[in-house]
Amino acid sequence: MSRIGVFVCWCGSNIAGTVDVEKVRDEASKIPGVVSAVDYKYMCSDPGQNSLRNVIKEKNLTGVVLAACSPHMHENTFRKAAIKEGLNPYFVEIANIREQVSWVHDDKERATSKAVDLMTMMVEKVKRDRSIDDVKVPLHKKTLVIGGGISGIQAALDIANGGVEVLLVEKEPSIGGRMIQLDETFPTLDCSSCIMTPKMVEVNQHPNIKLYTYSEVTDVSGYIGNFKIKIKKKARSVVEKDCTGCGNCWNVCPMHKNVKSEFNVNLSERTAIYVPFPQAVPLIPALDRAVCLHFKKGGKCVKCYEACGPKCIDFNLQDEIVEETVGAIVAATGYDLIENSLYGEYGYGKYKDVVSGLQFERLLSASGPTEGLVKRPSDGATPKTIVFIQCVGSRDPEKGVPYCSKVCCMYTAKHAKLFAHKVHGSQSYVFYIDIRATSKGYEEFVRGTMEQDGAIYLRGRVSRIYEDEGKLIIKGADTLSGNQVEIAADMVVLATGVIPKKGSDKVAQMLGISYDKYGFYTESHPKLRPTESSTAGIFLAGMAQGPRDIPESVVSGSAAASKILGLFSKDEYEVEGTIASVNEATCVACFYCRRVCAYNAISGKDIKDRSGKLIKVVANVNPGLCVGCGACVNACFSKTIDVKGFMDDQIYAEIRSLSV
Amino acid sequence: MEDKKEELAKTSGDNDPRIIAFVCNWCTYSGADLAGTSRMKYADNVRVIKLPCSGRIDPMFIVEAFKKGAKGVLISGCHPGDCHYISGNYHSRRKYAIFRNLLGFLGVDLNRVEFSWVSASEGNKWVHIINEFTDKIKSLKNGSNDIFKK
Amino acid sequence: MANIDEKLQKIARDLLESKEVSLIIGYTGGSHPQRMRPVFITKPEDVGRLSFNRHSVQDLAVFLKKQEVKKFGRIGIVVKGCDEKALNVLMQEYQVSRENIKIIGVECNGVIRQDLADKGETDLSENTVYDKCLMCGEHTPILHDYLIECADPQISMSGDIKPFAKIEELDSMSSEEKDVFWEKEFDKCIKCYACRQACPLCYCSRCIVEKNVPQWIDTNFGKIGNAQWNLIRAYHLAGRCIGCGECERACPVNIPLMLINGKMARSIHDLFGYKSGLDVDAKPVFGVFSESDFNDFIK
Repeated sequence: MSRIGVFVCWCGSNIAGTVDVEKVRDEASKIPGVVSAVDYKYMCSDPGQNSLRNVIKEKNLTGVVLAACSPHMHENTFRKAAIKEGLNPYFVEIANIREQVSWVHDDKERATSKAVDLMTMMVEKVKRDRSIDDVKVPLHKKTLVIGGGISGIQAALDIANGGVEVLLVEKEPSIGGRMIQLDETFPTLDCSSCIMTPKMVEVNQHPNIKLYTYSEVTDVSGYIGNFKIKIKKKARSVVEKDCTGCGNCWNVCPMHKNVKSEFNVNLSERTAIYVPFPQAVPLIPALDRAVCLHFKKGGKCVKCYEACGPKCIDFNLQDEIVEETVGAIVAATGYDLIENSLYGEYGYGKYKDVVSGLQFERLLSASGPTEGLVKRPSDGATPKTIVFIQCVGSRDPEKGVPYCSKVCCMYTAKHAKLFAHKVHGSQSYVFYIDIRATSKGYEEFVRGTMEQDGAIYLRGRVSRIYEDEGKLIIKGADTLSGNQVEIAADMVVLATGVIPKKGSDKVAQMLGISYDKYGFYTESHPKLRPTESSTAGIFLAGMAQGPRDIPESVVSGSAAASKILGLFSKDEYEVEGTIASVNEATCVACFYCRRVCAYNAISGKDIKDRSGKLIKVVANVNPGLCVGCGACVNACFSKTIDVKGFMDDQIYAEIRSLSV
Repeated sequence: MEDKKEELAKTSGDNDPRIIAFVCNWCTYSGADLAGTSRMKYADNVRVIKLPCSGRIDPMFIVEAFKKGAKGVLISGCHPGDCHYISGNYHSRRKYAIFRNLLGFLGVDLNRVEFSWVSASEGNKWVHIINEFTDKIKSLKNGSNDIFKK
Repeated sequence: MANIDEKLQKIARDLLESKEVSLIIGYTGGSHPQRMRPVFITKPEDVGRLSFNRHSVQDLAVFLKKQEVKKFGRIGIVVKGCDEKALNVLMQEYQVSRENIKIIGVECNGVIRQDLADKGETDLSENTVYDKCLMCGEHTPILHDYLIECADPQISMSGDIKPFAKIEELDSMSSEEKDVFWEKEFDKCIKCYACRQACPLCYCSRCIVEKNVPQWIDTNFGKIGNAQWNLIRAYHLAGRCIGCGECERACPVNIPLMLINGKMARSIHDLFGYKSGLDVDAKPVFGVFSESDFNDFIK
């Protein structure tokens, strides 16, 4: 039998001025199950809370209704007071008679009658409240970071420095990601590898970081605090612990003409056994079996094996699967460039001297194919005139993507600047739509490129590029002067926009996190939870989430790290108990609930008899993932699933309690 | 007395119609709170039932509200893209669109069923929706949602 | 006709003898020549009972939801194009797994309405078949392990019959008129739930109408309860109903249930471009959403 206490708050004259609180109190006392109905000037004050606690104790209440201000104000206050008297906090309900009655209505009689209605609804709801225990999930204090670019590295280092073990998984043979491919970085022009390499080394040497390069995460299951993961270490054909990184193997590899270097964006060649770049971390080569003569020609070529001092090359090594358990995951899978071939009018792929922004980075880089001398790919001559085209693919809903890739304005300004520094007497032209230079020092940087380094900025699009007598002829518009322009240049650099890394959608599906229509991972809330993914315990960093520059990527890596360190500062993760539950007896496993669950909280559960024979499958709610939104309840035909705190019978009781 | 009242209601529409509003906790309920803290005034015919998310608001609640005698039902949640629970409002929107067609086909006057997106900052929109809906219901001929009424 | 039966029987014999299935659900001759009824064959020697013709009306997929049938594990089933769509939905909703079912598809150019057949009708024409046959887009079952060709000619359509005419007529009524129409129809309802039992897609082990905390549907067969039941049945089948018409055929008081189902199917197609039962790999219409879904009705 319910023993409900109703407490009507005056809130001074805030409520009592418009609502007859004594009438509300008297009406409450007439409702079956209400054993106490009182009114008080300020329920949220200490004496008010004490009177609430006294009545809970004296009348041995099974439920409490406060007719007071919005639950968003003081629900927690009163729930805490209830806990002190041993009452489950979910037996406290609030009828909002201030924000939604006294403050919005004038007619006292009608406002009072509405207040009585709202109070009655909550009495009927609280009668049907069930005791709810908050869920505690144990935390496995280890973190998986997917992606060894700058944001993944930053996250890994911060977490490891916080004393938590990290598994850093990188698909390529070396960590470093896109940043290590860059030459100098805007707006300060510090050399990318100079600031990146120490971080990479730190990762490799950190006692709390276990580095998996040339590896991929192949399976993720479980939930926050307890993710079971599988990492595939691809067969490197090199025994890592014995390798000294001396380079004898790749120096003798006969396959040095045919394989394009991914690191140099196809501007040079690499061998079959290779490190992607000299400062690779770890400095251990990987043997690319798809192109290696040993594997293609039936084991004949063993040159690298013969050249290897410690004999650590092993053609028979197999892929290895490592199983681990982690409590949190950072997804930092990075980005690719939009396919330049979409822009046939710019001649990419047709003319060797039309290159992408990333290729130009390699041409500028001291570790690049030209050792830092700007030479054009076709004949190695030093270009005197370069045309840069911005927004190639970006902000182009027709052929490319509608969004702004954010980094191109700045890297183009940097390219033009570095070109001016490296080739004296040269000239840059930049075709742009808008210049977006909004961070610290950015606007000044672009100005400098224009004013000190003499780059000519033309607002407009390029319509066509063709070759004529060894020159590239660029036809475009200068919309500010209204003129058509034609420039004869030695090279063209396309500021190609960014897209999510190929395969990042597969990673998202494996992790059970959501991504937008472009494939960028979506945050749990665009403003207030920008670091969290849609799935509890999985955090986002870097360009995988959307276009951002290096400082922002570092910030996002650190943000993910701080979230994880915060999560791991306790031994258990506590979630509100207002989550969904399944009536296993009536579930027929149509799994519409699973389809609409945005949190991956529902899975199938086998029901077996004593002998272990499968009787049926039912839906099962993972308490670590469920947030209690109730979308599953709406999807369930037989009403087999319900959400605690907002059960169907409570809603129905609220409706049915109304006077009409 | 009672008979007279009933008679009046039948001929001239309903002067004091009850409206039940099912709203999500994060956007619309907060928007209604904001109308309160801003001391905006609106029609007192509405009774709000709070749920976690519009994704939790089952279209069958509409029928139950009519059964109870409500003259209008409002369902309101976060704007598309703003759902606190990522996609609850998107899933429900599909259901509401179809359920509404079904109600209409079976003879329910769809003027009595209203849907809105009201964000936590749209106290004024909440006021406007409630006032407009209340006026609309008052102007309707009584008995035009007979199928679910005693 | 005999040819079809022979083919059917051979397939069934092979399946049973090879133990690929332990049960075949098919049709056999009924109480008079214009009636066919379902038959359950478990032994190769009984396959001679299997038959199929233009009176094979029932959607046999309905039996797949029954525990007595499920326990056979691997099952062979004879389906027309329309019936097979039910299998697709059942597979989409994890109620049937493809590996456990052998689909013996039969091409079909229409089945004769039972009420006319009972009066001796044997001609296949636009005036004698069910409405669904006139709108049929799946004369050949979409999925099948075996396919038996049709013996009947395609029905020639005069163009006089407008399948959606009744829906459109109702759509054009005022809500009061619709209210009157449906109140009269639902008033006949005796809450026997035959519509539910006959439906291949109503497979819940406990129907919502049997849930009493809270009482979702009034149990009495008064005005409200009847309306609620008919509403929720249609709502729960919206986007799932494949239009086999078994509910309407089963209704002992002739409530035009296919009118509601048809309206729902049309709405679903208009709003979301989805037709149920056509693609076993498609995501059900209420399991997904689009950011650009219809929003005009929301303020």
